[in-house]
Amino acid sequence: MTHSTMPNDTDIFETLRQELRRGSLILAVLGQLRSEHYGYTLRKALSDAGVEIDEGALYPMLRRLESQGLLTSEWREEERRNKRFYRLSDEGRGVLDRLVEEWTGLNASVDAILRG
Amino acid sequence: MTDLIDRYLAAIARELPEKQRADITAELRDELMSRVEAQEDRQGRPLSESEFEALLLDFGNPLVVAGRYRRTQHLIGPGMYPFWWAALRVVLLVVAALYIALTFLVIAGGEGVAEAVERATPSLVDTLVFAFGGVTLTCAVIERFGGGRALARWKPSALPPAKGRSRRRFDIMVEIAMGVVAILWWTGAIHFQRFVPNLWFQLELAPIWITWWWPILAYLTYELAMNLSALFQPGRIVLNRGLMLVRNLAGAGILTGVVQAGSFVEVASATIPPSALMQVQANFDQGFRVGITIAILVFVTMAAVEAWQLRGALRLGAGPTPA
Repeated sequence: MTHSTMPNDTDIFETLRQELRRGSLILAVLGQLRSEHYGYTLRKALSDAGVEIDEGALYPMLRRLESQGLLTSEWREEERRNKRFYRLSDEGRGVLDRLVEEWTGLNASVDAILRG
Repeated sequence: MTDLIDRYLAAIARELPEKQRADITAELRDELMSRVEAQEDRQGRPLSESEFEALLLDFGNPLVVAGRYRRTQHLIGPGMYPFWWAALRVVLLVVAALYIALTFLVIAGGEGVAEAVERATPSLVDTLVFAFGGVTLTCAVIERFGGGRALARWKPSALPPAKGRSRRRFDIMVEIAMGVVAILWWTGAIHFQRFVPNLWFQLELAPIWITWWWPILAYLTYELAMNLSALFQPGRIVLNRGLMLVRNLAGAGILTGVVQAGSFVEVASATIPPSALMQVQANFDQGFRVGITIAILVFVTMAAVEAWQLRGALRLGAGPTPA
């Protein structure tokens, strides 16, 4: 970490970091749901891949993405408990492809600027 | 432990829309149980009460957890905020101008006016809270029903001048407040008793003012409309300058008609002899004649200045032509 330990600087860094992560989290969630997951395993899979997401943010996001038609879900029993499984819908797949294209382009541009 | 989970989920459920309540809490219950099981597997023993409480604390305050499921996450969002702030400033300026005018009324009017004002107007704090609530609620409703985009539409040609050419908003507000008071006084809705201190004579307006009652009322109403236009359409420079030009010409015209009369006020007294009273009357009339003549000259000068600036604005195409 290169940022200062001053509380104010830390706050600023934390806010900027969250802003930076916000958009990419949706991309990570959509990407991970190309294979089926329920909430807990989804969070774990993301964490194993290096993307930490708070469950307080994850579940409302899953609902929103489902209401937008990007995800489908179904309740199923597994390990003696009912679990809600999510998966990318056909529409979600199309949107994800476009978002990945956007992400790749943006990433390349920002990278070029930063390498300057 | 189960009891605490039930209470925690019930606290979340109370804040959720009824339709989604069972579905969301079932999913959260599974998430919580999965976390408990994972932690127990890691530790190789059941969770203690304090460890379980720590897990719930980490999961989040029930209000916050439930709040994230709401479609509306803010009352006034970043898109609406500039309009909310701009509207609030205007409303606060109107309130300030109104209370300044009311204070003036209370000072100038008699006891009756003070009592009437006190009866008819809420306290300043109540008005400010009401104004704040009203603006906030209106903006929240507009935002909720998607009116923000319509608000954000704008025309570059309607932008106010960069400097020096538009009237200050506070000045316009004060003029509006004074215009309202003037109309109320002219129509007899309010009376002033303390303009002239308790002297040994009474002053009444002469009949000439009654002859010009309607034109003066029309003038005051027009002036109010002109100021409202300047307030809400500051970018319409040509329109506003045109309105001011007409106002100045109308003012000069009315006063030219009034000044033809010989007498402007009627002085009456029960205590001084008629000859002295006539002298007082003559002094007043002379004072009014000089004052009105100066006012006419001021109006004419202002009209000339407006005409000149209007000509410049039309040449530069500084704004849309009057509708």
